[in-house]
Amino acid sequence: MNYTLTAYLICMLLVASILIQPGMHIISLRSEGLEKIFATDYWLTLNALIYIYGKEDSIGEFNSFLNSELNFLNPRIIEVPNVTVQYLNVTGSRIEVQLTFRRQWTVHRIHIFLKAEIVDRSVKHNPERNELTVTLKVKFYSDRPVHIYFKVLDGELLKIKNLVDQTFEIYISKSLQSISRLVATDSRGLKVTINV
Amino acid sequence: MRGQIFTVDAVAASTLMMTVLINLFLISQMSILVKYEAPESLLGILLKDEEFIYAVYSLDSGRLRAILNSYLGLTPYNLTLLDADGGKLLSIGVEVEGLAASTIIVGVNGTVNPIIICLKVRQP
Repeated sequence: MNYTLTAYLICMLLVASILIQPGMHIISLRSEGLEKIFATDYWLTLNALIYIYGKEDSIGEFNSFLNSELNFLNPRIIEVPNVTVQYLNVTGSRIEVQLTFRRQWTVHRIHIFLKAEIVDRSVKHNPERNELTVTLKVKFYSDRPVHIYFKVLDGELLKIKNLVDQTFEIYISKSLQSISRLVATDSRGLKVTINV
Repeated sequence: MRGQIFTVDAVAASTLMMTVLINLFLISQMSILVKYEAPESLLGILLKDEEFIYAVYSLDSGRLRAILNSYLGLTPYNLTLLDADGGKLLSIGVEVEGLAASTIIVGVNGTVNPIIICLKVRQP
């Protein structure tokens, strides 16, 4: 029995030594959400698009601003994508961009736009005030539903009628000589300008 | 006879030691897999909401609570906003164990003002 007793003692020592130093590995796994990546890239693009409003070299400004935004992405938090500008069109009444974001595990496109289309336009002369009253019927197209806010430069915004399907009837008063402009800003911050 | 008893004793002792050693080896190789699900999808849905983004940038805790409560109901959560250097700007909700879904929003309205958004939600 001496051998068994000695074996017991050795076993107890081994067990105690293992218990003193816990050698278990704890592995944590995390997943990256595609929706989160889409949304983050959407805001990157949108912010750069808002930035270039009113800038002359829109393509150059867009690229440099987007690159500066990408420099702020921390790879420990979110993988920094490779971005290719596929399409960028900035005119007065239209702002549109399409980008491709490439990551190790996914490739996706972001397409953002806001377009204004004049559906109807009528002008009345007000002889009492010697002013013109312009009625514009404008339809807006966007990649997602947005609220539109209006401002008139060199004129007065008289009334806005919100019709169906992002269409608005806008009444503007302006002097005979002035070239008024209607600035439409959506709830994201994108702006387009329409000459009245 | 005495020699046979010693042999049996030695065999029993060896068996015991081998069993303990094998078990200890197996235990030392064991890994515990703790799989936390970060609320990535929820953060993605929140980020699509302009109201949420503008509430983040205005550090409006009341508005953020209202938005999160509308999505989560009574589920405990923790939303922490940090600046680019990791300084805490705002934290709402309760302490929650688990992984945080996190992302960086670089700016809004054509400005550069990076904010790190971390969201944890208690898992059922």
